[in-house]
Amino acid sequence: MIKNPDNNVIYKSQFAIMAFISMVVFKVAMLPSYLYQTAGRDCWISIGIMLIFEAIMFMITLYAIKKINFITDNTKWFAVLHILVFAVSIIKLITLYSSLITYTSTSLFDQGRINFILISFAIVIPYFISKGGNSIARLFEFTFYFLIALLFIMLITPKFKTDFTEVLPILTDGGKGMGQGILNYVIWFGDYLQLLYFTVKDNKNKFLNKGSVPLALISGIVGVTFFYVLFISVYGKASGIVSFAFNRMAVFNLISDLLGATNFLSIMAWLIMAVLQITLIFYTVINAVAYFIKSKIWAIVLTIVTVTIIQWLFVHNIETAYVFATSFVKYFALACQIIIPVILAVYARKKSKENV
Amino acid sequence: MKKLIRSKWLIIILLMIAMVVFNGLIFNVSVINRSVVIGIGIDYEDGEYMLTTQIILPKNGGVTSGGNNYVCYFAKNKDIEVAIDKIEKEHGTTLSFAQATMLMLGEEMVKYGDINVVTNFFIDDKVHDNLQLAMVEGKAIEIMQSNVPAGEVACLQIVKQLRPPKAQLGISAVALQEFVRDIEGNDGVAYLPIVKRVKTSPSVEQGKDKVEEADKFEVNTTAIVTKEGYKGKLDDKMTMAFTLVKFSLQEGVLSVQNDDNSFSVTLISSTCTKSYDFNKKQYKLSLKLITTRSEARSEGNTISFKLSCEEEQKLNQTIFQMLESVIDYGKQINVDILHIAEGFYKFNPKYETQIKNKDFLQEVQLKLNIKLTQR
Repeated sequence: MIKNPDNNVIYKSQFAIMAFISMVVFKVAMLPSYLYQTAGRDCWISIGIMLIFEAIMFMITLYAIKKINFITDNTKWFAVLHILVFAVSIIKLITLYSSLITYTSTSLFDQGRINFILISFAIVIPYFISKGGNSIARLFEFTFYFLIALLFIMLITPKFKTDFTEVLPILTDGGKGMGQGILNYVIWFGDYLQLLYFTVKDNKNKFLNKGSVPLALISGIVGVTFFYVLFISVYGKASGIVSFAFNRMAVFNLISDLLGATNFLSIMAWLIMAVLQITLIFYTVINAVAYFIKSKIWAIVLTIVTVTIIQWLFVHNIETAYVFATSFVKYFALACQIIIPVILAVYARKKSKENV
Repeated sequence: MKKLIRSKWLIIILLMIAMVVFNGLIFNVSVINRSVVIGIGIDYEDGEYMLTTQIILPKNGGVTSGGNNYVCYFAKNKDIEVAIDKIEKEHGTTLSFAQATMLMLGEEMVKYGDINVVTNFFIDDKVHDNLQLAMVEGKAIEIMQSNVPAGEVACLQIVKQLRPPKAQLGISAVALQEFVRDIEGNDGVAYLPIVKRVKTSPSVEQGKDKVEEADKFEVNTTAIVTKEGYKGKLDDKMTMAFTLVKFSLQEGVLSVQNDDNSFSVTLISSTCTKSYDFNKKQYKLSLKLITTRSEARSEGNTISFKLSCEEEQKLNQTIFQMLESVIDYGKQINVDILHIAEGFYKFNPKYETQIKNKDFLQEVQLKLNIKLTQR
């Protein structure tokens, strides 16, 4: 058991910020193109449904972690849950980490060498994690306002030629493609699992306490779904061949024709969000490992070295990660993403009743 | 161990070392070895692609000491990637396409080359999606080496004409994103503005007079392209009608031929809404125009810039005829230039088989509703 569990206590508003960033970041990168390839122009409906489901699960997770501390609770059968969380998170980490590495190597460098990028991240991320859960939450919190400013500038300066009729007609295949889209990319969802190793306490401010989480979740659903509608209306049938949608769309953000595109803002915004999200997934994996080896430091070293080696030697590129994420592992991930928070919420309810 | 890993100084020192060492190892190309491409031209000759890259050569002191100049590097190959490699090797440079503003396709390229070359530029993410596309009359390389007045660069001059601050009537500018969206669409019909070079009088630069003739560009016609290649050309009148339907415009002058005299109307803004009535087989266009008469006319004792009722009718009639000529031309060349069938399908998917029938477009009637506001 970890000796200093208090560093995973966060405020509800911090939970809201983490939920918002987790809901957005990897869903606006490669996923729009993947989803379009599977669900066609109905992909915005797929993402909308998945996000509503994810928002409900975030609320269930919040309920559970308000009442129990997943790290310090000594319940014996929690070991099974830790193993399951570890398994899902490592699958997710392998998939999403490769997106971050590919993005960094292609957007920042001409011939970006993934090994050097991997080493750079392998230094930064453990440092964040070593500082504890509430330090990660603080990181999310203070970068959030900067991100909002960047996203706001991007929101008011687009100059694309859209054709919103590109989303029509809807569900001509009876929703088959949409359903496949939902099932195929479950690895890109279930971000609430990464918040299980936190414990939430109320904010003193009434609005933040009651409104921050619903506001964050609704903004996430509306924002990402609208992004998909916009994406399809800009690229139409070419949507399936557009890599890194968020960055590509940002090329049309022009403050003035003379000054050129402001897509560097999108690179900054996405990289910050992605590094934070990957840190969060690493944090989850490390806590699951630490539950068994009883040392957080060794859990950090072991996890970072293992994941770096996997990425370096086996994953190589984003295509391998895609094949892996859409293989049979998606069914396992889907089951875990539903079962784990529900079991914890039921347990939390039972425990709180017992305490009363 | 724990203390060592948690030490911020260790992390800071490691990061500083990493930044210096990695920068050396990551093989970033220095500015000296990099060529910033501002324009790309592709021609098709004898089964091979001629790639032309227009490159900015920054001089000492930049603009203040005489302005930037440019150079064109070119190479010929069946594969565009090999042509790029050839240029890089021949000139010992790395071409950087991220700043490219223009992709010009030679006439032969559009007519006989593979249009997928453009789509590949899009897929590779080599250039940005806002890159302007155009077809040129003749060869792209000739246009790129034009003698543009006042030391301007041909590509930038054309971009300025295609993308003025206000969207213009009769200029059918298209960005790479829109071109690929159209060409990959269900009907696969896209368009390209046509750039034509014409001679103009010599320009005078401060300090040095140029006596030779300069080139200027006309961009008022449009090429219709499908995946199979070039299909036809819209003349200036048809291009005006095409842009009225396609874009929201902010500026332009439309000449109207009356029985006894002609007059012109200045377009201040226009928006077009399309609807599709499957039962009546009607393609309905609603145009909202804000206009003023370009020249004043006398109305009794007063002078007015407003159109008379008769002139309004004539304007409506002219726009209707212009639009009909585009649709009729499309029928002639068997191309759905305005994506009419596609529009019918989007709003009436259950009639897909009837709509996708070849004869469907022949039966569709144009219904135009113009709401004119005069300033």
